[in-house]
Amino acid sequence: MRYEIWLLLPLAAVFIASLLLHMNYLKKLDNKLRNMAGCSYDLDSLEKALQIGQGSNFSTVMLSTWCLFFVSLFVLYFLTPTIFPEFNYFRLSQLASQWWGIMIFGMAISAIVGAFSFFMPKYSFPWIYQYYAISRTRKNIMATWIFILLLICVSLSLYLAVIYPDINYSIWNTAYAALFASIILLILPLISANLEGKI
Amino acid sequence: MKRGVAILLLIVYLSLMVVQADVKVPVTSSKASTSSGGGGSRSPDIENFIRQVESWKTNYEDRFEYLQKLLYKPAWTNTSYVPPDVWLYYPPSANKTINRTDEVKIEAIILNKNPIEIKRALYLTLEIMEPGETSFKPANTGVQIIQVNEYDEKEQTARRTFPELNSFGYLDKVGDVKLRVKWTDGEYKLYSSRGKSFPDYGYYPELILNITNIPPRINNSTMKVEPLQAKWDDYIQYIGSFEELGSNNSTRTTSIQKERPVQVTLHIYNNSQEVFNITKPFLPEDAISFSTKDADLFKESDAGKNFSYRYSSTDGMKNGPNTTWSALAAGPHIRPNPKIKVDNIKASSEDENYYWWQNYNFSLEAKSQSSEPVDLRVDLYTDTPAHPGKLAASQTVIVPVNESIPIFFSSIRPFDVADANQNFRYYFGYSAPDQYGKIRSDIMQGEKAIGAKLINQDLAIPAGIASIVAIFAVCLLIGALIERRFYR
Repeated sequence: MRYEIWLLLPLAAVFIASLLLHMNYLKKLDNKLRNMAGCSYDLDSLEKALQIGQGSNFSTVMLSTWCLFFVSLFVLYFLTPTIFPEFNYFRLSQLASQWWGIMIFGMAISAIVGAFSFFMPKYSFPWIYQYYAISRTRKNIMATWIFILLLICVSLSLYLAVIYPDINYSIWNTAYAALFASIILLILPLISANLEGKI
Repeated sequence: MKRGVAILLLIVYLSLMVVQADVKVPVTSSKASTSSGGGGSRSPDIENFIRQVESWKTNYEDRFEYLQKLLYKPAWTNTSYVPPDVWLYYPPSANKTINRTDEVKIEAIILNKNPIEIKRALYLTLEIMEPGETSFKPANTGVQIIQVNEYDEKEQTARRTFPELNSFGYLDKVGDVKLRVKWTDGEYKLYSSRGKSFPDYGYYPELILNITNIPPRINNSTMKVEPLQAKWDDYIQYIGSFEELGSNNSTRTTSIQKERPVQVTLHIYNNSQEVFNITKPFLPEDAISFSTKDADLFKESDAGKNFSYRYSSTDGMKNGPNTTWSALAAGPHIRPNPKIKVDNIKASSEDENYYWWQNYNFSLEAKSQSSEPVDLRVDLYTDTPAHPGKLAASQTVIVPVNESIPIFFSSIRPFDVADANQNFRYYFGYSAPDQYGKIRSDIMQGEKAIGAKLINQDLAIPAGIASIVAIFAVCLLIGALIERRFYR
């Protein structure tokens, strides 16, 4: 199996780790509140009570980066036939033969992720952020750098498509690093909340 | 005296000839020595005597027969001699309805209870009444002789096969055949049919077998006409073969059918109407072959027509099925008569890289071969693994009589990204037949393989930027929509 496919495992591991971190965070919070409060409550009420508005701009940007992250992931892995010769964008030959084909391809992935976030809003990182206190500085860092990193990832992926059938592994590795860094930034509030113990 | 000697010799000779038919009298040309009563001895010339007897036989027929009667001496028989019983043996378990090519074994079985001292040699002749006949005739088998010592000591029986009759493949009609044995022991001339029948044991005085026929059948999978497309005066061959003998039943087949020619007829059809047929004999093991060498199968007026064909085969057997038909098969297509002449077919890319997004130029030259210009529609087809036989462009031109004109398909973009890194081929289709009677050119190979690049290099930067901007914009729009709906 190609090493690029093995490199999907760290991305999956980050997702799983973030889920575990979030569950751990909620559990600690629940325990602390139960000790402090003298009354009973259900978890839904707690979750509702804990939600903090992160601001429209930040939420919009983070929802956009959430979509963009998946666009970048698909473009990195599925744009050229290098990694998956049988499943890639160029198998859609009628679309891929148009200059605007990649645009449609990217938009379609955005739309799918957007639809997922729309119909199941609780299953996206931006929704989880509402349980965390995120400083303005951190918000600025996240909003700016995730966009930049994903822009780098998409741009390098397009470059790899342009030079295909030549393959440049340095470029691919750089794009992957940018993608990986962006996901680390995406779960930054979860990491920091667990590490800093701010509950 | 001379007459007395002659009569004496005649008596001896006729006695030997009539009674001991199976014993050869040694006849030599040496003089026989006989004595006469007091007249001295003479050596009569036996050849003269034979001639004399023959002249009597010819000239005094009635007297000769009387003389025969007078001189006849019955064979010696014992009063206790009982004529043997003779049957035909056919296994009770065997089917009496058989194909004429099936192997059969016809046996005679003889029960002779006389002691060996008085047993006689038996001469058996197989007789047959063929289908539709009213009388028996000797079968085409030899006389079988049962010697006195051939009987089983305990059962007092003997068996004898008629080896020459191993099938009924020689018959030219099917139906019931009757078999019986005519036998003689020198004294009696009798038939097996005088005995009783014991079908449970397979003993028959007259054996009746129902002979059927399995006509020769042509193996449909071997039918072929070559070439499938041809000009009306090209060499065209129809081929095929018979199904293997005995393949449709489990019985063994004798070689008789293999030696008997089968009349095979080739029937040629146009629009379900038989337009021609020709018959030739073939041995069942031979390949069937008809060709335009056998006859003028097609005429000039057949140009442009589609034909089909089938075979019928017959072995000529009467009273039963004797003909089979093969399946109907397509072919040949007779090419139309030429109306145009085409040559100089070319293709090239706009530059040497042959990328899929580039334009290509295709061309050919054509002129009319008929007496007037031809309004010609030309279709350009490209052929790649991803898009086989794709119609890339069409145009209609008027092709003049005396001069070849170029027909260009310029700046055609027939390929897409799926064709990258693939070889391509191309051909032209015409609305009128070319000099080979074809309405399609040969398939031409592209000069080079299509380049392996997937992205149009010229558009890469603007298209890339536009794509990134558009994708980011869509993501922002989606983010804003969801934020408004769920995050306030």
